[in-house]
Amino acid sequence: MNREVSRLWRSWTEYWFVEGHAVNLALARVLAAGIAAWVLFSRDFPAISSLPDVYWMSVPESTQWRYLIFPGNEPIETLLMWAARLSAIAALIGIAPRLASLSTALFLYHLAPLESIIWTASPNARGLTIPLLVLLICAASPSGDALVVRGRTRTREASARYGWPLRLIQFQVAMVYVLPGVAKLKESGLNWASGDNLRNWMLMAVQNQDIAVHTRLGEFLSASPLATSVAGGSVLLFELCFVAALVRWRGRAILAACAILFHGLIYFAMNITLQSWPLLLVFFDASAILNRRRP
Amino acid sequence: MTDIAAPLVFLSLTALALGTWWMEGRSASAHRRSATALIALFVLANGIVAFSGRSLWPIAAWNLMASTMPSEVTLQRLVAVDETGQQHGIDHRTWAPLSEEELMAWIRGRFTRLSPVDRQDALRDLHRRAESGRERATSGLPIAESNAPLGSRGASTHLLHPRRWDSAEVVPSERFVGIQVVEDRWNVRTPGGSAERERVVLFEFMAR
Repeated sequence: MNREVSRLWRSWTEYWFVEGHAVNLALARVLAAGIAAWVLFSRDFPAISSLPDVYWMSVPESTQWRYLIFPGNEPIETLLMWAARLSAIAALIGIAPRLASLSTALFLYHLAPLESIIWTASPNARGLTIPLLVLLICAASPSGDALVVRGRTRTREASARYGWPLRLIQFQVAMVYVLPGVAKLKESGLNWASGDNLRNWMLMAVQNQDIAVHTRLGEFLSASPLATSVAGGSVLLFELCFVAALVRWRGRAILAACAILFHGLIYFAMNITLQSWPLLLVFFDASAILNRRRP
Repeated sequence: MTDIAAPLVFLSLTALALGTWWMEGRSASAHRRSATALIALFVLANGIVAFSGRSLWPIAAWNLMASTMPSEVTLQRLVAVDETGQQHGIDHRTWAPLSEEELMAWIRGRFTRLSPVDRQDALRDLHRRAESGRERATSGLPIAESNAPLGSRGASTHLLHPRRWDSAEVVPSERFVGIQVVEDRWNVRTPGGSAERERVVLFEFMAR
């Protein structure tokens, strides 16, 4: 028993405390902060605080306390919003990068739920969920040892100091693909992968007048039962297999490239986007690319 | 329950992140232990969320499009009514600071459980926004009443929405006198199916 436990412990430690490069971890910080800044500069969350009472009356008090969001506080929310924007820029360019990462994550925890609070306490898929978690990990780790506006990369040596946070970030990004696959299997079983199902989803996306921005690709693909059958199976298989991205470098780069292609397809075929897709770049080894370019 | 469990998870993640930062450069073994605890909590929280299907935001369940889609679909929409009684689609930017998908999710859920008086209040506000957006679009002003620095040039929402009133010529010229929540039903497989919709008015507000 003890031997089994120690073997498991060794595998766990060997998996997580792998060596990594400062640039790869810093790139994750830059990407997460960049996405956070982009979304924060694009939204007017404070004004949601001033919506008429009728929108707020069914928001549970427990949810308001959970995020410390209360109606009628637009001036305070405006201050916090600007603080969050500046903090995200500081994390992006590397001014007090770890402190800025932490403060941005905390600001996001308070502000992001405003977007959907009138009907749900979980603002998933709105662009700030994964950046928040990535920035929290960046605060816990030496994510400011590279890609900072003042100063140079502290070390080019690989170290577990940079390895475990990057692996944890990759784990969290992978969940964006694995968990939807699990949810599809739990709710719909293998029926979800049928061509008929994906065809209906695509047709709905191009015929719904409130979201139909791009229609050509969706109409083209849904006209072919073969294309929708292949796509249905591929989507489910791809999402569930994304867990493999946590295992090997080469495999993960290929899966991440497929995921970027996947986002392009659903953007044009189904009018759906995920703001945090650039975080897929954490599966590429930026340090190897940079070292190759150095003389 | 989620409103208690989820912030506890987030507080624990934050405390462990701070602890890991604090331990760095002090004690290698304590730092390793703290980092291990942080990793373990991330993995455990994601596991719970995957198993239960309930988000502990910011640890999300990501149950996106998990259901199957039938060919017969029903869809609720907001339409404005002009003085001649004609219905019009509304540019999504008029709902700022709310996005259209958040507003429609609220309409499908919590709005229907409001009292009739509160529903009229909500529809009165939505009518005001729609008419104000129409007037602004007609005058060539930005449709969204938003203080976001990037405005409508910024990041899109999770679902894309057409910019119906990008040019003044396509903006309805008649004043909006009412707003309706309608339910459209159609078969997505019927050739040109979306043109043959059955429409039912669920709720409406008409300005007197």
